Amino acid sequence: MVVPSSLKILPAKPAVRVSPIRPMTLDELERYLSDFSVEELRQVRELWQTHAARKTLILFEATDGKTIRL
Amino acid sequence: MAKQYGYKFEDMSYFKKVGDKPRALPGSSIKLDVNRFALGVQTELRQLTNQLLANQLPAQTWYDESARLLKLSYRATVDVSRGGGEMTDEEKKRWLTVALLLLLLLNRAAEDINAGAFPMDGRLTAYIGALGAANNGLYENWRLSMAINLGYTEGMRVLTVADHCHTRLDRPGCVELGALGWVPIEKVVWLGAAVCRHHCRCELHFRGKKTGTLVTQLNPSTITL
Repeated sequence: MVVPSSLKILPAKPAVRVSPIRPMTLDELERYLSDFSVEELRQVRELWQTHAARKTLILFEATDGKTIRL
Repeated sequence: MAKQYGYKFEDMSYFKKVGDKPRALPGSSIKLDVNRFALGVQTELRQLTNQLLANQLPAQTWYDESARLLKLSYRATVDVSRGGGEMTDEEKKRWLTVALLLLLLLNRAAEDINAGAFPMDGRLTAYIGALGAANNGLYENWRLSMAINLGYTEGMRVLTVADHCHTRLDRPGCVELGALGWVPIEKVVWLGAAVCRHHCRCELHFRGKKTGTLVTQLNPSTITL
């Protein structure tokens, strides 16, 4: 088969290498998901405000400085 | 429930308090926002992953940031679907179950990356982005469990504007499930259990409420991601 000279075979991209990740263990994950600090609850609301319309922001409770532990 | 916060949640509907007369917040507006939110979180996760692939972000930072974003976004979606107020013990358990299941998918990706088994290209971006898209399924599944607890008797899967999946092997497809129309609520298939898994963009509708009847509790083992 004749390959037109205009076609070039691109060199393969070098493989991406990353340093090892330490994922949370099951216990750590459970603790992580059970605790919400005041700051995190503010971030929850902020995240909703960033990506969704302001119309539904009313659905978020005012946290009044409480730390919520599930 | 949560009357003090400028809205009221009753019988799976939201009401804005405008003066003395509550005005309904249309479910379609809320759903539109949930979709917009899921898309936004998906985009943020994809950007984070692209930074990892471009060696602009240490892998551990990528993992920590992705986990944080997923935790916050899932909590936001759950707060919106439950309509506020204190979580009951059953809801706390349910939150832990669903959030854990989804975060474990991030862990699986991290372990596969460590083992060199995950392709470090657009497939990783797509996989992680889909965890953000799971916010839609989380919203619908949470409402399904509330509908069950409130005594609704029938549910229907409604296909939204998206590419939908078809039945393959032992997994049902959303197209076939949608064609069933109204089915007994205990036979409604959770979003995430179909072929499209946590990418699912369907909606669930409910009807036939039996006031005050507790039909059944959510069985976490029925959730397949």
